[in-house]
Amino acid sequence: MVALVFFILYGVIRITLMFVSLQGAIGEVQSLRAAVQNKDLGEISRGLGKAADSIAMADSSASDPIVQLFGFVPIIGGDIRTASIVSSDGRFVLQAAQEVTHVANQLVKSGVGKKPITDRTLVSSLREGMGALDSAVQKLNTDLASVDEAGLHFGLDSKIKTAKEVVASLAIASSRITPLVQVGTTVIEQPEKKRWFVSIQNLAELRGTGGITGAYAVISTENGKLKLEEYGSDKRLLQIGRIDYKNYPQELRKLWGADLSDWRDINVSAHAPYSAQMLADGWQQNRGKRVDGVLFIGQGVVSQLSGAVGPIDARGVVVDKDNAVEFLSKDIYARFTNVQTKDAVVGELASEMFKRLIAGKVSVSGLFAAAANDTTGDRILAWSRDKSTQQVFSKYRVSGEISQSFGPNVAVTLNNAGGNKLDAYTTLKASYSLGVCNVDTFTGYQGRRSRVTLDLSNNSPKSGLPAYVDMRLDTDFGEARPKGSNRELMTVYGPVGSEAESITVDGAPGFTINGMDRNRPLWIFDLNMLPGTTKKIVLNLVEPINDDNDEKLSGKPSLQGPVMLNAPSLNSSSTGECSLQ
Amino acid sequence: MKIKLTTLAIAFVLAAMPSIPALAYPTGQAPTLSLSASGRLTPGQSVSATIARVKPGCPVSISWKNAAGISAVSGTSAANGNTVLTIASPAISGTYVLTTSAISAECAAGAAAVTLTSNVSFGKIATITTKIATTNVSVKKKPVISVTATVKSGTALIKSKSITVDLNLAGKKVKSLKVKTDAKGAFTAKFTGIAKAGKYTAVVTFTADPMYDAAKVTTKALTLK
Repeated sequence: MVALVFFILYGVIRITLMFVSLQGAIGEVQSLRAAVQNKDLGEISRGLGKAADSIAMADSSASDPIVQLFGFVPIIGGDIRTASIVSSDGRFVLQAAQEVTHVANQLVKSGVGKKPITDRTLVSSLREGMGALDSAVQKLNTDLASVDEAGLHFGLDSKIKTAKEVVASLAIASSRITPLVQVGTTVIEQPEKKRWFVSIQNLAELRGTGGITGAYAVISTENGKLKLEEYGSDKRLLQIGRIDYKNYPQELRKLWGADLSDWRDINVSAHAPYSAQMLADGWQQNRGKRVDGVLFIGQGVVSQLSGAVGPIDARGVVVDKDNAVEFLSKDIYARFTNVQTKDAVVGELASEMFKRLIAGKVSVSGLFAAAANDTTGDRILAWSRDKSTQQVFSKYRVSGEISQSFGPNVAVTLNNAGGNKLDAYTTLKASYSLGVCNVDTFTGYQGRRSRVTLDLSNNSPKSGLPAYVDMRLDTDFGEARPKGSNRELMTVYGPVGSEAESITVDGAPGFTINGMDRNRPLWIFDLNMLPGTTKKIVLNLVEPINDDNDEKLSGKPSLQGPVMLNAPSLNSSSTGECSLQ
Repeated sequence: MKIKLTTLAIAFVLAAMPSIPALAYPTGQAPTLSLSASGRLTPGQSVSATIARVKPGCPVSISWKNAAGISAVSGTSAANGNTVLTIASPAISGTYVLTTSAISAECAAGAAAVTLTSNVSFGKIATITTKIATTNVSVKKKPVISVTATVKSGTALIKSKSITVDLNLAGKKVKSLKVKTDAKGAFTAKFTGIAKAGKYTAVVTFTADPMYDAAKVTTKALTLK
């Protein structure tokens, strides 16, 4: 009996400590507002450190097995479990955030970007720290999402509801900014002089890596210092001349042929390193200067930077984080029908944004807000000629590689074959599900069935678009081409060793361009898309559950969607693991 | 972090903004060869092909590049630029190249002249798991080299199939045996009369038939002194 009393007493004390410490941590975070407004990274870091200490105490209580037992107590059990989640996950978030701000503060003080790097470990610490912070934020978001706030008490319900919204936004922002930091720090820390080609893509006209290269920048880095060597438009690239692609893999050449020689189509392949290397080689072939790396970015990244610098007024149009993507993808064509005026407007926008960036008029909170609100499917992709740097990009999943490894991986990309800007209206809903086991593949493996379902929609209006947006530059073979119609080439990469038992387009057997690339089967669909219509593509696959060494393949199905203006809806599922016989 | 983001962003924005309204250009303008067959086929199963994006009225034919005895099939591109043709397929498993006749630049609707090809695979793939062993590593003690293997395709054991096993010394064939797989898809080939020291490997070859594609596997090296 005495033992039971002590047990309960101990538990109550620990739970009280947990709530008090948690409250202390929340108080510390709230007191950071002033430091955030003053952009005082040092103060933010110190404040986060205090909050991390408080939440560590809460986590200590939350991890206590006796406290965890109280999580099963009726009525208040849910409150204790929720506080426990916030304590445990929040601790990692705060600790990672404290580390990131601390390192960032030191980097700012060292004049990174303007002066040579004196402490290289700081740069890599920032990169690693952002990765850790992102992981912690994503975990907190996932765990919080599983909490049913309706069952909470003591005012926790409203607090958790608010926390869910805030953390969800933070998770989106973090997932978008982290790759930028990972690529940026990798680029900036190169000790020797490196030249980077930045392909600025227009996601309104899709390509394998995102969009047609609308512009480019060539920047050089050397021990932390950045220099803009050159920038220009695709018109300038075209003047440079065609690219010699005869030394690239035969399958790649067979699939895309002459497209690879044209700067506008060079990035048709889903495997970004191919496109990057061709851009680099093309530059060297024609300009005689070595390019060491290539970065691909699109309107999504630009909108995030717009959030960082604030609203800009250009000839009566205010461009800010909320309308940057819409304006640069759609509205600009309608508002400024004269191409020269349109170019002048974007030039003025660029100039003002540049001035603010140079002057350091940058809002990190604005950047986060823009990132959180960025609904595009844009993501930065990076390639380096240097193998070790490329491994870093690969590790951070920013390399845009098509994996050659066995496993349940499917990748989808889109290429605009109509020659227009209608992909501002293109949406994709994709799913990949692993199904029944005990099926052999024709390719000699034990296997399972799987299904890839793709709903590709052309949501463009049937009238009212500027001619530049909904034109058709592909050869006319007499098919129906009302205003707003488009043509898309959809590429689907199946898992290594897989095969398609059947393929349908809108329920009828589909004809596909078949190929193999990177040891993976692929199918290309040539789709005429009338405005306001959806094409449903279904691939019924049989894919291996063992590799060439008879080792069992495991892991969740992975579906990699295209980089596109409207973020694709991706869903993957599995009926469970299959056993080898 | 503020400065770092700033400096990187400068380059991005400078280049991005002035040219976001890019020149448009369509991908995939050249003629294409699409197939109704999306995976490996059963030998003898006919194949339907669509040759698309060819100027209407142009002659187009398809044939197998490396399969004898099957006639080419010809047609003329329709008003929509498509030619749909169906061709018989080889009776033996393997990968065959389906090829179009040369499509002139004029018929390629502005693209360069082209001959399109597509690899089409027939039959299942067999996998062979091998082991090589010897009764003795000294050639003076009259060793017997045995090569054991299991032949299967997925979970199916391939029974009563003829297998050729070549014994190589330093990469050069010195002996050869023909064996048959048993009910478990297994076999053992024993090589006697081994007189020379050196590195031995065995090459196990499975010849293509109407059910299975050809397969060839080389064992690990075995060194005799």
